[in-house]
Amino acid sequence: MNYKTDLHNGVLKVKISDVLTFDDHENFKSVVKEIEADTCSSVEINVYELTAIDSAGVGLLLLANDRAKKKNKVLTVTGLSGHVKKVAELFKLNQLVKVA
Amino acid sequence: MRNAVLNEIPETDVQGACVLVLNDPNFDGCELTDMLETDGQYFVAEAYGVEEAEELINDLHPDVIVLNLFRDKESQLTACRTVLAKVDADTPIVSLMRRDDKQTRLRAFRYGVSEIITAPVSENEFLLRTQRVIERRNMTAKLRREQQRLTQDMRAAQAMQGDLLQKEDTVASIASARHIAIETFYKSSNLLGGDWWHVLPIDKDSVGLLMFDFSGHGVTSAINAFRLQLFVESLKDNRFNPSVWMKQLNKELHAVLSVGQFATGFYGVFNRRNRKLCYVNAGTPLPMIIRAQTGAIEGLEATSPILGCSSEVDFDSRTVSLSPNDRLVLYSDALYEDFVNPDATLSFEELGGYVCAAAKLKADDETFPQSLLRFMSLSENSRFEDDLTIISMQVLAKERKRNFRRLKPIKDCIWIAMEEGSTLADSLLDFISTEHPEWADLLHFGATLPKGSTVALIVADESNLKALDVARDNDADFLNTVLLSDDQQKRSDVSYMAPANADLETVMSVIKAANTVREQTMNLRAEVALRKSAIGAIRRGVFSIATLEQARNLSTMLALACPEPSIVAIGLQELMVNAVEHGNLGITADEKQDLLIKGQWRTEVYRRLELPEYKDREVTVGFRRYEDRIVFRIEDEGEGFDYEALQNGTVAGEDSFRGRGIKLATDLSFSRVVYEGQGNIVEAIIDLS
Repeated sequence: MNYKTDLHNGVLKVKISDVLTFDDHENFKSVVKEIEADTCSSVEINVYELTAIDSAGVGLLLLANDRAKKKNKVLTVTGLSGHVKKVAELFKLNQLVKVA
Repeated sequence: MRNAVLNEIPETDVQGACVLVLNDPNFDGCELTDMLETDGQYFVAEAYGVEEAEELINDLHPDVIVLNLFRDKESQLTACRTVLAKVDADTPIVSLMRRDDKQTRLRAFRYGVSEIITAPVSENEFLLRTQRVIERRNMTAKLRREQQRLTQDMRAAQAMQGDLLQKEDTVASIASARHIAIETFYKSSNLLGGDWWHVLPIDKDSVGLLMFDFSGHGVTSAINAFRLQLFVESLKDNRFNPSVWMKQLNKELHAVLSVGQFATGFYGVFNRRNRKLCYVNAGTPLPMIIRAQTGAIEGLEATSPILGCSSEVDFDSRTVSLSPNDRLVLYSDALYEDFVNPDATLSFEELGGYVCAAAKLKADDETFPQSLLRFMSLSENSRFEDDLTIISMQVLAKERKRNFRRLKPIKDCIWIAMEEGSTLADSLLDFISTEHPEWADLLHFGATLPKGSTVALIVADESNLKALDVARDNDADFLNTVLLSDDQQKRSDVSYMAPANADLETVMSVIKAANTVREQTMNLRAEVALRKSAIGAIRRGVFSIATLEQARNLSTMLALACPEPSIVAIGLQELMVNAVEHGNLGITADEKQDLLIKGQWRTEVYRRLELPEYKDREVTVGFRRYEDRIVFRIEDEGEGFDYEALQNGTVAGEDSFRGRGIKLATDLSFSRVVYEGQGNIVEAIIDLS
């Protein structure tokens, strides 16, 4: 997994690329830390450049959502496509996280 | 005693370590030994030459071997190799070598020497480096012991996890009692995994099929799988209701799982009586149903979100009907996902292709999961990136065709004359014997009929047209013929026709309709047998009827005035019913077949009897007995039909139903049947001579 963050109009935009799997657990901690630390009220995780995600990867997105909620921030997952979109539909992710 | 410099270095666990110093056999006395002894931490042994060293290695099992300078480098390397061959991989070799001979040092390393100290060396450096080598050796040994203990623990946990999964014979006995076959495959990606499946006997007819996959893998997932098993055991209520049961389970999981942990899950309840599968799919990769009759694959879409993330989620259920030999396949994502090369991840259609081939071409000596792995060029020993579970549940045909292949004569049989490999025939035999046990003893399957049998109903396909003739030659008093064909030319030859690829529901509707007609006829005969003739002496009379009941009553009454009344009653009723429904009420042949199959025939007749255009219509029935014959004259108020075509044998389509009734009447009950006018007047004559 690779990621880039960018603060734009009060929204923390996190762009994730490559694959998000169990092996990215440690790496993803820094994403969560940035979400928690930033003063923004909204977080957008864009997964458009993510080519694949496994169940542990979905777990990481849920973790990020939980941490954002605890800091009173609204997290939205955007850019669902391809394999990631199929997994999100299968898991009915839209019933657990805000998806746009 | 340690010197001042060494005293600054804390003592470690090298105390008491055994050091063997191997010297050139031509040396006499060794300063290295003196250094080690003076340090005071070690038990020091000294050998001169390789042979002596070998003996000491066997006796002392030294913790480290120090190879002192030899007179020539080749002797030293030979000694090095010999010693290395005698000790285990954990025993380090420290070799003293000359500073200017790089090549020999390199060769020594290649042979497996752990540490090379270049001569000349100071005492402190020698002692410190020897100490470090022993420390590393001790640490490696400790790590190895820890690793072994961990591996043993993991294997024990793996065995316990294996015990959580049901044994093959347990699953087989639960499944076979409910007319299904279940085959499973499970392999964890490492020693422990987060997949868990279970077959839950609910009652004598129902069975629950569970498959779960916890996010991630390894110890955390395995512990969650243990927890899950406890929850499944404790949630004893509402097992019939996947929707409610999964909601309860979700609450339990949500209470114990950390944020980011969750499970995908499938819970399906199959009932063998109605062959319905009610299921909740909470994120399990699309389970597949392979339809035996068509080979089509259906995916069971997710009905709910994954488990354990939110306590207030509703779990919707869906129900799907299964037919004999249909197969449900559940699998975890490891079967089709490839995270190393995401482009190689299989689509539903691609995986479906493998599943289809595996079901169709499964060898007799392999299970479905084995067949699937074979088609996917995998094996039970393949390494998987994630835990892999495959479960197959196949609905068994309750009775096999061979059980219905009668060899002895069978009276009034229901003959299924269909192709050997027909899955529809399987379904029919199974359905009839399960849902209509009263007909089970009458069922016969095959291309031929046991000699001496009589046929009440035959269902034939295109490949068994000859069987229709055999049935006609051996008909019971009232034969119904059903043909599965798309050739409309053959429609007039049979009582009912259904499309060649008709499904079980359609064919069963036709059979039920045929049976209704047959039962009415049989009842009529029974009634005739019970009645006493009231008009035996009457020579002539004219009667008027409008309804089916009146047709039935009049036909039994008039039949009693004839020889063989039970047979005459059938033909007479056919003609009167024709006059009422086809004549007065204008119900066409196609409409009648449709209405019969839908079970709405009688209702429609009553409806039309009330319509203004039909309600005043009557059928007039004349009866006259002559010396040599009895004549029935039946006249309706309808528009008639092309009776000449009937007499020429060219009747088809619309008039086939009416034609069947007329043919029955002619063949069975009367000497001849003659139409007049537009076809709305018929005379049926019985010769008495």
